[in-house]
Amino acid sequence: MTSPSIAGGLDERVSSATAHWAPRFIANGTDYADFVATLSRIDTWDQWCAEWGRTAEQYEKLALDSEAAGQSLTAAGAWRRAALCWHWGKFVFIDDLDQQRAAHDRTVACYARGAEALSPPAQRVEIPYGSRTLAGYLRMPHGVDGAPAVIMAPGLDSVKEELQPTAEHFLQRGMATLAIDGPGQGEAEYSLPIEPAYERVATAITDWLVECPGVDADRIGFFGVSLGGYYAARAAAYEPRLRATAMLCGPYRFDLDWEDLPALTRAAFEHRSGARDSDEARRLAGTLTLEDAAQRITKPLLVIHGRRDRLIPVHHAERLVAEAPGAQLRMFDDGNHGITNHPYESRSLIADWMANELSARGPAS
Amino acid sequence: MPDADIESAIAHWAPRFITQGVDANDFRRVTAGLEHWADWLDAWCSNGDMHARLAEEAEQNGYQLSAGQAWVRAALGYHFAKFVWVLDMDLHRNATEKSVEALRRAHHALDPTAQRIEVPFGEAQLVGNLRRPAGVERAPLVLLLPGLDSTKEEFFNWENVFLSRGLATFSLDGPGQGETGYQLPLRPDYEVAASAAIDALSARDDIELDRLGVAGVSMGGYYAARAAAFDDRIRAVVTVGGPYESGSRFDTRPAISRSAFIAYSHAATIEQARAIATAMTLDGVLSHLVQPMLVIFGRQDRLVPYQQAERIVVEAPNASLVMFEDGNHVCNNLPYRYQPLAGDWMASMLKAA
Repeated sequence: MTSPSIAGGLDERVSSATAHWAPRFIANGTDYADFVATLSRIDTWDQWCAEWGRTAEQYEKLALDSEAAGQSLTAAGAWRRAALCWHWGKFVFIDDLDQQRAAHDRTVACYARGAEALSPPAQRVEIPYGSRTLAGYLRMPHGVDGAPAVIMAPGLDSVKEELQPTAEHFLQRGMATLAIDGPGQGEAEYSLPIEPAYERVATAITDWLVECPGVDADRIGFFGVSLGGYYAARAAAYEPRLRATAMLCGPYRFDLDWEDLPALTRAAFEHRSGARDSDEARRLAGTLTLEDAAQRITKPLLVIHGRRDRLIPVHHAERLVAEAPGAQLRMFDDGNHGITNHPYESRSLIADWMANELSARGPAS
Repeated sequence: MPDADIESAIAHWAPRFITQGVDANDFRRVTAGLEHWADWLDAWCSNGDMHARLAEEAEQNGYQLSAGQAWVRAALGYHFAKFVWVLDMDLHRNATEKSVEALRRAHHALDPTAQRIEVPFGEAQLVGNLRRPAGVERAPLVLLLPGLDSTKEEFFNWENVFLSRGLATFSLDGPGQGETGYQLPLRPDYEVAASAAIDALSARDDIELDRLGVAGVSMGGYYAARAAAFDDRIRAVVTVGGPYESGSRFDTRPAISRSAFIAYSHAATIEQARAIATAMTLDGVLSHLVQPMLVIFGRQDRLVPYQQAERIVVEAPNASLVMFEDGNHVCNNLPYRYQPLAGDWMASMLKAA
């Protein structure tokens, strides 16, 4: 499969990726030099998944060598990076579904292999959801008994593994984290389409989390990024056991700027929502809406948005904050989508805010 | 159009800055608007100021972790403002002082057991920062030596590589480096400073000097080799991007780097600086370096030819070489390779010592 090239020889989707994704990839744990080196090998979009796989395989080798030498810390870091590279190969690559699935399987497997050696360790859990289960990573903060906990929702193209650098901000402040692959995401995306009424998912996760040893059932918060921000707001509106919610760059209603979304994003939505075609995708995008939900959000909701978000324009956040009684807005004037161009500010801000709302205390030192 | 010095700086330093903890977005934002090398210091000091403001806000709100992490970034901003920028030594010194103070506040928030240690040395003093791993009663120690233009303020992340493996660290501003450099010029026989630093730590009961290693980056690799050759209390040596000698490279160095060499050697003339560089050689030294030594090097290094690393391992009796084919100077384009390698190797050497 080949892709149309633009003048200069560089595929439009590749140049778009280069321009817009470097901050996200780096903020979520990919080394800057690897991003540059991998992109330098890619001329056309059909090479995207395979070349990220090549970078991932270098880490897999490093991880295996380190394991053999008994260097568990180094191995864990290499498995984490390998998983992330496989994830980038897969995340919006829906042109070849077999290749995509194979890359994703490696994401899951690599992350799982290093998960126990992370600090704190990440425990893979499976949470009952209807007749199925949802996979997640549960991490407990060092030195805290009865910890508050934050449920974490990825977005349209992210997965539980990608959220772990953000999770570490919560963990360092004494909160447990539970990052979930929900319907349409990660391990669940092959069997469950995107769920507009995400509160059903939030309730299932909360049911499980309140029974989880070491977690304080009265202090549970929710975090979601991008489309996961929409999920977070749905959860805040309909799941009363959630004490506080942070929504990072989420939409108010996903079809409002449909035509302006990048083609890759629309295609990924069409695929993961189970739509038959682009018309149905657009109709389904309109069912992801906070129109009824917003007024029900009375508990604290922190809405973080970037004025230079090119995926979800700022009016989404402004409308939600105007309608939701519990909401407050923190705007980054030059923030991009996900505020990954100011990760140190946005992540500290969210984690500090959540720690306050959940009365978290750092580990005794 | 950016001038040649700016272009050179941007092209070559992004991986180093980012590896040491500068945010990748910050690197792009700060350098994007720069046209003249003269403006470099102000631009990075502003970045340091921005992080210092974030740190103070976080402190006022009681967010200690956010504050500490912001202070680390502030220290790096101030450090990289002046690291090879020697156009005005008053401004240089002002940035150094801010960097030192920012890192002090970072330690206060993130690692309160970190200690500043001043070591009397002739009529001046050396200054180092000692950090100890949590939960280890008497940890082995690694002496971390900066190079021509690095200082202890650049090493917070580098220290963490060793601390996370149960080793204490002592990052030293020796002659010609950081706050020590204003009093003392860089010296080819750096081993006298390294030994003085070790002497100053010898009475402590919270570190184990029977298990002492030294790790040096860039010219610090040369210093580390000298230190080990002349002080047998050192049990293991790691060098990353370290040269065999500096004289032959003096005239081919990037202009920025040569200016820094002249400034940090307190040379009055370029001839004097070249003579000092020529005196920096491991010729005749390495036969004394009998301890285990790991030489890490990048074949794409454009500051130090890789043949110098090969020569080191030929002459040092117990040295081995790891050459990264794609590696640049100090392999900072492969941090996930050289850092765990250095950390794991040092930990295994010192724990077995």
